[in-house]
Amino acid sequence: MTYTSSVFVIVLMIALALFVYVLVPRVQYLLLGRPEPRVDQVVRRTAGFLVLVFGQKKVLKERVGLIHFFIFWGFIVIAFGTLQVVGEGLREGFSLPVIGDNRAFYLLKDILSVLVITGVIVAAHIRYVVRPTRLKANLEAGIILGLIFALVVTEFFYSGLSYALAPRASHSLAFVAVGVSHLVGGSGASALDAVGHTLWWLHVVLLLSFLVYIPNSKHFHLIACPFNEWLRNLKPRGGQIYPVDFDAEDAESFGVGRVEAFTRKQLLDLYSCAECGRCQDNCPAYQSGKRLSSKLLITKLRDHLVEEGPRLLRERRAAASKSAKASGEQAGPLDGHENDTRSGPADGGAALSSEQARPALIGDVISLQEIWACTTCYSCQEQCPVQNEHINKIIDMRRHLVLMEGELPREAQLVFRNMEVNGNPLGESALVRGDYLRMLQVPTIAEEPEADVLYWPGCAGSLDARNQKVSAAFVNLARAAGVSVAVLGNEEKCCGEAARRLGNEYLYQSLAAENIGVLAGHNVRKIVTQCPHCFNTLKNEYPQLGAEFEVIHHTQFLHELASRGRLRLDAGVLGTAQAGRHERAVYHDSCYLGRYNGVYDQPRELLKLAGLELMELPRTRSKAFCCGAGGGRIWLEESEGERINNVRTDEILRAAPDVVAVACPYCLTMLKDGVDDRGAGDRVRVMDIAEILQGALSLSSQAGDSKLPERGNTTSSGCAAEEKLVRSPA
Amino acid sequence: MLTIAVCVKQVTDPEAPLSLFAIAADGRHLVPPPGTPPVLSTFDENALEAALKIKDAVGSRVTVLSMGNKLAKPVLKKTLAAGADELILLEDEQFEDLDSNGTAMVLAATIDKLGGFDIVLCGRQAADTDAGQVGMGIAAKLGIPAVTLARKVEVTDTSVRVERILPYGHEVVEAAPPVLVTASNEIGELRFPPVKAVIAAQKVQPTVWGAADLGVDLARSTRANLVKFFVPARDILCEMIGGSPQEIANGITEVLKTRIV
Ligand code: SF4
Ligand code: SF4
Repeated sequence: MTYTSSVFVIVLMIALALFVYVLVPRVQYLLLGRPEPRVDQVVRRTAGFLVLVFGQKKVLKERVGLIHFFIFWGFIVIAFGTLQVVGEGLREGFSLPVIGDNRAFYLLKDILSVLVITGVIVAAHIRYVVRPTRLKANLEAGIILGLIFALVVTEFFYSGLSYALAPRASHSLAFVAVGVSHLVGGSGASALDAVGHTLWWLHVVLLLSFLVYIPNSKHFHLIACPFNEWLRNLKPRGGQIYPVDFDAEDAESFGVGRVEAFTRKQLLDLYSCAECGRCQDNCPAYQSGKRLSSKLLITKLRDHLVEEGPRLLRERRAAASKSAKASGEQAGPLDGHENDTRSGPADGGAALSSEQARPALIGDVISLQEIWACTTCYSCQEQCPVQNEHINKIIDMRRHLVLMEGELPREAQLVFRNMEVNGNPLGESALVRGDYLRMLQVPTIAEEPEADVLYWPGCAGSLDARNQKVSAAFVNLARAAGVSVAVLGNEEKCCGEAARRLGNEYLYQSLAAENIGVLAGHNVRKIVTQCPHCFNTLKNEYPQLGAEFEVIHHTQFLHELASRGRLRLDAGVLGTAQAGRHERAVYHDSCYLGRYNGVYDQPRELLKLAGLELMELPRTRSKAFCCGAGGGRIWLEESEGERINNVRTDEILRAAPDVVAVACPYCLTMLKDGVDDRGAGDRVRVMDIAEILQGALSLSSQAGDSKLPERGNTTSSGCAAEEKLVRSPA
Repeated sequence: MLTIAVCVKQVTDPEAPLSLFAIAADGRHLVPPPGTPPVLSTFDENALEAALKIKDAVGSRVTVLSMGNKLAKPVLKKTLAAGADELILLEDEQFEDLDSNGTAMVLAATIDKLGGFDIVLCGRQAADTDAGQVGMGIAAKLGIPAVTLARKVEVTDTSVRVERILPYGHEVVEAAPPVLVTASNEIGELRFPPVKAVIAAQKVQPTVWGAADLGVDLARSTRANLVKFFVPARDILCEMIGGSPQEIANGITEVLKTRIV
């Protein structure tokens, strides 16, 4: 069978031209963004790339990912098969090296093809019959599934027909081709030839249509995603937020107020989205009925970019030619482009008028509610199979609002003011910060420079009555283990975490700089924090500002002490255990301890050491559902939809635990609120792990803490009377 | 264009815990605990907000005046970040511990020197002394009407219209400019300035005038004299009354009858 190769070449050229025609503008839109250097650590990038793309590591995190895995690999193998088929069609006897006559290859291809067909059918069933909310049952997905299906089927029949005409040893194991050949075996050769010819063309045309369709659909991820995987964030997760350089000469615009102010990598994220909806499935904002969906965030930004792209390109070209004219010859076109990349369209009247007609990125495309709803819980990024980075986009938009517009929720203004004036979000005087730890007779580092560790209670552990008890428990445990602890006292300030996540990078940097200065002044090397947010910021964000010290969370520290035998724990002395039954605990993972920093096991092991029966929640570890407080949300009102802490509380209460163990002051506050709100406060106690351990300290080791004030001892009173971390600062 | 002056005072953070303040050795000064941040007096922030609201509505030029000694410039520059057009600092050693009358003199002289304003806004009282005298003093010295306790200030074509708080409601007062208005917190909190404006404001060099620049002679003004600062002494006497319930009751009745009532 030989087909007119010239016709084929023409068709191929048309398809490629169309493909390029659609692709080029998309790439140009991408380049509208600010450059972001990410080409480094080539070996590490490439290694991860192989695992993520060819190993489909993140895709396979969910069982349905298997479908994608088979379609992905099936497609690669089928692509080679298709190459062979096309080649055969063009020249008789054509054979690809290695695989062209390889029986194993054709066997593998048929196996995978069957899996692909099955996968396509299952995928269609899920999307159009089961219809989970995370997937859109739209035409686009149907077209793609149909195309894949038709591609495989045409190839099956073409191969079967060829085999019927001239059985080849190489195809003898290709069971589908052989089966089809049996089906059509009785037909005459000329009929087979004619049908085969048609099928070949059909296959080719389908393939090329697929090619042309890709850049215009969510299947652009086929092209964008490999780049995105290679360019993924290699910084620590908790240090992924871009710092702002306020001293930079040309620093006049901060944050992102229009789509082209995103970096190119951020825009590449948009193209890479496969619309799988996994991020949205575990997004606390979306799942509690807020407008924000991590998936829609990405797809809306992408659609906005593609809609605005042509206009932006025109504006940029006009501005570039204007500036080239203005500055004569010395500025090359590239310079003009680069300059412009930073400052956006020129300020000319024309640009201004079109500016007004543009839908505003903030307001029209992404609403204020969406921007402020994110808890920065990292679940979207954890679940996203293509390594998209949602959180930076949200924070960049918050930055625009705070730094450029001064438009932010009232509660956030108050919190900023408190942090600025008093060094804590609660609005307590900076002069009483150290009082509580002083009452526990913990020395300051100035008094005790040789202390083993510097304890960082944070704002909550210093100033909030409920969380002060956690500080007391920690101090007790450290004393029991013979570790000397010192604090900064009044020299400690808010770490600035919430300010940063609420978009006030300026405030964050000034608080951070002060803290770093103080810590360096005392030559601090090892810090133990109570709060996972302080922990993450000191550990992963302060280094961006030149800090260097070892930071661990108190659960890690206590685990270390326990595993070295320095904490003697008596199992099950929490007081409510019935005879013969261990108290049952669930552990609620803190986002900033778990997902951000991978601390999943130590807290759990500590609970077991304390003699509790540990149960896992349905959404646990890397899929744990946020308490709703992160991203500075604890300080903001939550009126839209359900309260996130209540959603989580309901999940917890279904497990019917005696104790909810937490390791974060925010979680403690939110879940205690939730448990009370659901009227379960008398059945279920919410406690920090340090408090639980303190209760399990064997009496012999507790003897040493007799000098502690009554208030510090929480176990007997449980959590009945605690005051709460005020959600809206006074 | 409409011109507005806003007089603001820098005070020690009123949230600082009272127990940490000390009385200086001379018995005439209050010493704040070290590290207490200076802030703008809250009612003065309301006054600035009132000015900015007028600026938003009808457009105006807003000048901020602040008097004192050793002023914290970063704090005062925040007024520029929030939207004021000009900041004038009146700094002089003589201005230290000036009483209300002296302060009003200095501010009135400054306003004169600047050629007068259509509206002068002050806070209803300072967050530290709570005296509430300076605004009235300025109006008296400038010979212009004063409207106190404003919860809303609007500018019409011919007059300044003020909603003035009364114990059980409010009254509306109109005055033709120039007029002095003192603002209450009901006017609204000072807006949150975009950080970009804060950074820009920090680069501005405000005008600084001393007593000599203004030609005021404070020596000749009357001056309140603070005689003594002290913490009132409090005695707590505690007497235990024991015995049977009957005896306790009798004992209490006895004490109440003989010593209290
Ligand atoms: S970080 Fe959490 S709340 Fe924010 S978009 Fe992602 S999943 Fe949703
Ligand atoms: S952002 Fe990632 S997880 Fe979310 S829909 Fe897109 S590809 Fe899926």
